[in-house]
Amino acid sequence: MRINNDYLRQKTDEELATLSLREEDFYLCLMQRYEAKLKRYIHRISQSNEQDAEDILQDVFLKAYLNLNNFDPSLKFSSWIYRITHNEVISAFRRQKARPQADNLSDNDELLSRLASDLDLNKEIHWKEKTGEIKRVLSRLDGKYREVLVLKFLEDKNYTEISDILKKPMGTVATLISRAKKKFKEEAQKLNLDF
Amino acid sequence: MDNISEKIFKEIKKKHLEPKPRWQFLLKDSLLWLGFGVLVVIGSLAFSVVVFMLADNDWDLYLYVDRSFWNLLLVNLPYIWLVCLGLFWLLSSYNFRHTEGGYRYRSWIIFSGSVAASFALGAVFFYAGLGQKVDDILARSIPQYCDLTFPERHLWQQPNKGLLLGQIIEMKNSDSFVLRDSDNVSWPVQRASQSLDLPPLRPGLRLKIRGNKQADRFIVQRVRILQRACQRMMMEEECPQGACHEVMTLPN
Repeated sequence: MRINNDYLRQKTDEELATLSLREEDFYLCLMQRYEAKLKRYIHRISQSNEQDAEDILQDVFLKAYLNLNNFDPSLKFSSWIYRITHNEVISAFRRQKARPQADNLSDNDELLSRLASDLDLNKEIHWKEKTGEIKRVLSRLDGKYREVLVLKFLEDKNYTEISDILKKPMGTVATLISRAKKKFKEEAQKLNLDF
Repeated sequence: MDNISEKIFKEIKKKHLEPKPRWQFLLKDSLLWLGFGVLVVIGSLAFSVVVFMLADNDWDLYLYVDRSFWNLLLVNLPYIWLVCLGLFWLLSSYNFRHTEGGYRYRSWIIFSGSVAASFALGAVFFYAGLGQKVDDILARSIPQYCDLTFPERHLWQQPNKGLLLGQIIEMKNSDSFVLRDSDNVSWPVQRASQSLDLPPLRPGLRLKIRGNKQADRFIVQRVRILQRACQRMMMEEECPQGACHEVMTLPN
């Protein structure tokens, strides 16, 4: 089936998700909208290498398609697919932990350079100016704190979206973000960095 | 080279993959809600049994025995039911947390909601007599149940301290009757004064009474009909092979 590009552009993600249930061609468009975003998100929260990130993303797209009927239209489609990605990253992380850990120092470097280049998405001005220092601090944070900071400041998600992605109450999200900022400052101080 | 989207799209086409049907998700969600409902109902039943036991407890018994109020309270609390109640609160909260949208509420709010629901429904069950019904069924079907929930049963077999537990075998008049205690001793029982309110009495009724033992009779100051099966069964244990039943049906 050939679908007009202008027609597709006018459709929201939620509309495309509904249409994908009738015709899988619409799902291709949805995947294309999210491929880059989700791959970047996977890198940001998991410190995985290129190949692992692609494997996770494939699992995400397949799982999302198979579970399309479970998409709750009261949510944003973006929150729903980010949630699936979050879950897949955790599953992949658990699988990796079960295997002997490889030395991923080079992967870390790769991640950090990607983070630095991505930081222009950040709206907080002092973050923009100190990308190198931020990446060092971020990489030292506990995963749960790193993830909320990534969602809030790099993925530009609001509290409701973060709540839907992480499946945590909004109050807990607010507490997590507040603690994550505190931890970020503590880690920065340990590295003698001034934010 | 294909990007990931193209690759997945081709795989979907090639393998003729289709989204799982909606009814599967609806069924899963319905089962979660059903599980939550069942847990709340069971928790409410547990709460109604706790209320029934506490309401039936004799809070001033310490006045008759050489024990403190706190000692009797600690010994007589229905621990097994309180543990069950706590467990059902936790399970129902956990279940609710996993329903669609359950994650939006803080754990303490879900837990408080579960407690409030079991209090409200449990109160209804208690007034409907379900607490007693559940207690009766368990007392008759689980041999160890009474040992766990009625540990101080023998406190009531102390006529010298003014405590008597037994079954009416004969009504003399509205002021006196004959009571056979759990040691198979018959006691003429007399109302202490006309101002003492007695529940409607009849032969066969099992009572716990408080008063004073005198030379030839027991002067009753307070009468309560045995509500708990564990207390009624205590009489049956003392009167094996239906002996109590025979006494109960003796002609006047």
